[in-house]
Amino acid sequence: MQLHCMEDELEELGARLVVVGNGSPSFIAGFREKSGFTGALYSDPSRVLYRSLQLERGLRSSINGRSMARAVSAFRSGHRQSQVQGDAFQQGGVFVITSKGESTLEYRSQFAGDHPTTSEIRRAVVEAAALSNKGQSYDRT
Amino acid sequence: MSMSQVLEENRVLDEAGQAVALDSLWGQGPLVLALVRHFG
Repeated sequence: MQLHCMEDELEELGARLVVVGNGSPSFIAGFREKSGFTGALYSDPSRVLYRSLQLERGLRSSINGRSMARAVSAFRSGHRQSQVQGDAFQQGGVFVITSKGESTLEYRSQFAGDHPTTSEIRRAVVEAAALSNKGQSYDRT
Repeated sequence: MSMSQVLEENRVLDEAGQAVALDSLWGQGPLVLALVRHFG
């Protein structure tokens, strides 16, 4: 799943997409060029945020049957893994958070290629938007 | 640690290497925070 392909849809739903990687900030420009992503892009080279969010890290989560199957599938679809710029053993995740700081989706990838579906993200954003708007309405009264 | 605490206590770096507070990155709507495996 290429999350940045949902950027326009997320914006229409009132959400902001922020992408964080774990390599040096100097890798950000190259990532933009390669991915075509023009939105908010940051780095956490110390991986403090990754640890705070309890994301998986390790050899077993990076190289296993499921991750290899996803890699083969991605390769067949035309995707090519370039040189890793960051921690090769770190897994990612997707979090949808309301304006009050409550989460409606906490997805921690268990292996390389493990991502939430677009419908899971869309559903969580709609729920988060409703909760955020609820709070704003309450604040105005 | 709650999600609010995570957002309040963590910072990320922008392209210039400047620290940015996570809780400054979104306003009234939801935030979709995607942490990628690496920049490769």
